[in-house]
Amino acid sequence: MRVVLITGAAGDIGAATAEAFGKAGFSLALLDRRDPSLPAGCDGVTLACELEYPEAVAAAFGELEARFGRLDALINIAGINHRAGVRQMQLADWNRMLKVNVGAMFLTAKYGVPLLERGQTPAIVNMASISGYVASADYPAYVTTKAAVESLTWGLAGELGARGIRVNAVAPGWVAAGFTRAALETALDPATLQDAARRAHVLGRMAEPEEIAKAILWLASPKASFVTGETLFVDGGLMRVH
Amino acid sequence: MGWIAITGGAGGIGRALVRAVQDAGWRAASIDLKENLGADLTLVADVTEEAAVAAALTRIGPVVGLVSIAGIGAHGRVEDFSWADWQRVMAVNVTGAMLSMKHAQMQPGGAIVLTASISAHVATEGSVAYHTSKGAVLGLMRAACGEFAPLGVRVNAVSPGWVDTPFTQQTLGNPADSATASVAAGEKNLLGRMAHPEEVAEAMLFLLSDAASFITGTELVVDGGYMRKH
Repeated sequence: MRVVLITGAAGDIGAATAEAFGKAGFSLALLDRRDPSLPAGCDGVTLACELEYPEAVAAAFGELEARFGRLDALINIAGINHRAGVRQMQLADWNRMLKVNVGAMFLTAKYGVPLLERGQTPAIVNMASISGYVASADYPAYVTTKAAVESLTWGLAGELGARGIRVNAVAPGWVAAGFTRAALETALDPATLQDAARRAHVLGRMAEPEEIAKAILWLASPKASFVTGETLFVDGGLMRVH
Repeated sequence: MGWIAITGGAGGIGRALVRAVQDAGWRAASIDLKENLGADLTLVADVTEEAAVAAALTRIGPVVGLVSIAGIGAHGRVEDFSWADWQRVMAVNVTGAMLSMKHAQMQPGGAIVLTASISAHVATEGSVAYHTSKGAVLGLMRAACGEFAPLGVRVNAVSPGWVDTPFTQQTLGNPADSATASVAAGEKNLLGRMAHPEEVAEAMLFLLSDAASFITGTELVVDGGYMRKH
């Protein structure tokens, strides 16, 4: 049975991704800072883990090695957001963003690569965002970390390709879930939000978490066997709207 | 004519930029771990220490330009790379740029130039921290162009390829091999040689100048065709 590790598995996109991999027959290793739950009828393990601490990540991978002995897919979804312009940025908030959104992906790769090398057609998929490309006066830390995720992805692809590990990223637009929905619902009334979402995307709406999960599952599957170092935009055409 | 603050102003590209800025009629303030006595003002500070960055930029006062060049590299495969080294690369290359922008006293009509790299776009072996940090710089530049536009300040990035500087020589290997290494580096791009630091400085100067008055949120790649060579 193939084994997938999913970080941020307690969030909306993480939970949808866990369900998609579970239905595809994977054993699930689900990580989040609060204990995530296994989807009904799926095999696997859940671990509470503060991903920005190297000791915690090393311990989690120790447990996974003992339990599964290998890893076939590593899916990095965990991420946080912080609202503050550059000129108002507090260094502690900035550092936490860099650690959770980027550092954690470095750490899971650092400890995960030896397990992935024992996997079948192994792959890493990292959560990037269209945010890596846009001018955003309110969220520079988020934009910085999401652009960093893409270069991390490309760097890892170069380093791990010869060892048979593919590394790609998924870049969603607005997802009707998690902190995106929370932020939008705080800022806008429902009618305005719906109108903004319609105007922001060629498809005229936000994505459902399941639509991001499907893209991740495809990139991690042997169907994407010649795809590496790539960012798959799942943004309903957001990047093409002007 | 006003001041341009330059972090990494004592390095290879920084020294070239100090001269270029002076030739263009501006005054150059260098912020670096080392002094650059050729600058009009040279301040010693570590860009990862917020108090030091704030003090340096307060000392310089209002500026028409900020160029963030200070950066470090680090080698190692992902499994072997330490968390401490990772944190240091991110602190200097990314947080240093953020802190410089936070504390620079930008005048309306001014411009900020960050230093990214072709490393933000390519896959190589053993440079994952450097790749990541340079992608982060591009994200920071894109976000900040939105924040600074209402202030009348443009924000862009220059992405060099291989530049003939001590930084690159150190990255390429020991000094005895530097001639061979330079030739090898030159073979990686279409123009068949490394950039002179002055050529990168010219691109930064362009983005600082009124000649670039409608350019913001953009990356100017100065790589001799590295990204187009296959």
